Amino acid sequence: MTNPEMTVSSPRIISYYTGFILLGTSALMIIPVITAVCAREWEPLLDFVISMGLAACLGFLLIIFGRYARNHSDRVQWKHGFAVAALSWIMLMLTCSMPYFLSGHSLSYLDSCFDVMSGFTTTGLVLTQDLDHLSISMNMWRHMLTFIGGQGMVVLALSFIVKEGSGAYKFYVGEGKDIALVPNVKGTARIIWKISLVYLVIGTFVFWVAGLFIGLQPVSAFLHALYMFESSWSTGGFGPNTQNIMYYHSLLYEVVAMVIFIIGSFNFGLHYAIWQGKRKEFVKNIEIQSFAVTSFLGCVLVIAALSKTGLYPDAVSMFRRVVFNVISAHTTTGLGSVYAQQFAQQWGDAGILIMVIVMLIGGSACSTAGGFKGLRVGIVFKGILRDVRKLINSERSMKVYKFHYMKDIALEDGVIRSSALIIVCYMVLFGVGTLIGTFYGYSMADSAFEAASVTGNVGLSIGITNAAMPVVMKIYYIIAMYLGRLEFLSVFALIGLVIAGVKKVCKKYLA
Amino acid sequence: MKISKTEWIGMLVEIVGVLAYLFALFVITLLFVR
Amino acid sequence: MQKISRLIYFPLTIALCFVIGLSVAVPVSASANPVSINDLVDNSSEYDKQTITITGEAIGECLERQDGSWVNISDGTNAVGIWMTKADADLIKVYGDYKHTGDTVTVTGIFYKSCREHGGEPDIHCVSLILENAGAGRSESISVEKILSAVGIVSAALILFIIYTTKNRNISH
Repeated sequence: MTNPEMTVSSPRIISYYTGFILLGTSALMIIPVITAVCAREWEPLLDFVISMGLAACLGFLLIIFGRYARNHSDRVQWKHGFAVAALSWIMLMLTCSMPYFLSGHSLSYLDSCFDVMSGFTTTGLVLTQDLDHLSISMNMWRHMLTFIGGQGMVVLALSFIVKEGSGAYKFYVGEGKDIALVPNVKGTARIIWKISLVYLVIGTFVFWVAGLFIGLQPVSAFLHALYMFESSWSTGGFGPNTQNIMYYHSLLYEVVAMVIFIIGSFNFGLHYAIWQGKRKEFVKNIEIQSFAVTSFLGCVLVIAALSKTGLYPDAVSMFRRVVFNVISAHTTTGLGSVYAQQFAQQWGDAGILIMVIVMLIGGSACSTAGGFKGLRVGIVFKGILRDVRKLINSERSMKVYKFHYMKDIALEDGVIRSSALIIVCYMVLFGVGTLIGTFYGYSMADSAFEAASVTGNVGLSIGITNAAMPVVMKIYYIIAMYLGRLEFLSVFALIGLVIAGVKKVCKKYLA
Repeated sequence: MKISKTEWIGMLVEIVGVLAYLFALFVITLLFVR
Repeated sequence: MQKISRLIYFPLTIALCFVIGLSVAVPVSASANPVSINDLVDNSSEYDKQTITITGEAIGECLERQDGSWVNISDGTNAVGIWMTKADADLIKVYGDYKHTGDTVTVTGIFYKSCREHGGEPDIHCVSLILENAGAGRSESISVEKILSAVGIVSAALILFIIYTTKNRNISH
């Protein structure tokens, strides 16, 4: 009779669930495999078969190691949830980069990992070479990764594979989603998928029609539509071509993209509330209010700054180049309607600084967007207001301050503090990124822009991100994208567990 | 996968709301750049 | 003696003036030497509203609009959109993608750093288009190593799958 204590240890639990996520991802590669067959792209087909096999092998190995965890889902604790989320992302990065590397479009395996992490975290920075000659199946894979990364692989696994139980919720939270839409986690995951799939069908259709209208051929219009929808909804920012959204030369395409990426940046809980009939939530919600104010201000300020230079002489130009990019930055999408170097050369320091700020603020919590999140900005702002009011008013008043987020929530010290702490973590991540950039000789404005883009999972580049970038910066950016997306806690939990494990081993063998 | 009438309206509200916001931003650009 | 010198010096002077005049009058156009697309974007203020020449591969597909067509050209350094007449666009037969190398074309046109006609986009309005090299299909070279790796790893995965199902049955007992 095997001892449960021994066989259902932390490493085994984590191994078991991570293994399943790897298997799930391996199964997903069937989509590019089918695409390669349909498009008769034989070399990519082999690349994907090899990668699928590799992910499956690793997945099975991990599951076999952790097999006793199968019947003990009650032993799953919060730390396991966070650790699985964090570890899965690393393992997935290593396996999903195989197709990139085998395709020959990456100058190194590190570059492949960079692009995969960029896709999963819905950042959108690209190191892949020669996008214009990339195979259809490879483009299918890249854009799929942002779509799935935006949803959350863990959420994906939960909705199909994991049995219901206390364990499931802990993985869900580990991935940075803490909205319980319905009492059970599997149900919540399913709803998130339903909303995304409905928009997928409608959004792809609208993009397809727009594509036909602007002169694309039917089949390619469909492919572009699918890619651009996935990229917009997930606020990823990839495009199938070097010129990103400039390839289309179309205001219509840009507007469709904007509508989709703005909606995509909203909290899933908000979608659920509105879809259930609580339409007032659209205006009462603190995140929408926060986003409306900061994005509006951001646009106005950049428009004001640039109207003096005469760079964009008419309203349409101003709208297509400024509003598009500011909102793209704020929702952390990263689709760009100007060339990277144009931010540096034409927007001036004021424009760059405003972009840095909106990139860091980011989108909504529990969405595909990155950054501090509007919720935290709103909470901290209201917290400051509250403290000021308390000082001014008589000390006797016991007014309870609150904010509205799906329901009215009390603005307590604990809430304000945790929001502020995470903001501090992001600022540190951003600061270090800027510092490293300046160390390598890039200007402060450029370093700050790129660091903000990475920290907020945005994806706009001012020109620093390219294959010739220093290796240290590539590695730092990968770590920053990862930490930013998982909102620190999962990664800290994983690190904590690893350190605890190492200590245990040391005690055992050195004492 | 069935989509109820309330859900359709909800989606419409989101899309129209965002389009209205973008239009407002366009009006702002008109104010700055004639 | 003086008459002879005049006979020599006068034509010489005329010839000299002619040479100087030619070198100044004939515009040393930037269109003579192709510039790389990335150079163009990097120095967009300098090249703004100038006639320039670029050489590159036509990629993707032609986007036909009401009063013209867009063709995207890539030269390895960057890619840019060329606005041209449908007639010019029809000269391009092959566009670059995974299976094709597109036609190499030399485009001479006016570069706009922020084209007013096209919503502030950096683009080139084509004046003349020359087809340099016809594009062609690209063949795939499938390496034996990849085929062997594919077979090997799929077999390994199947073996592990069998091990997994047997272990599962053992636990259930």
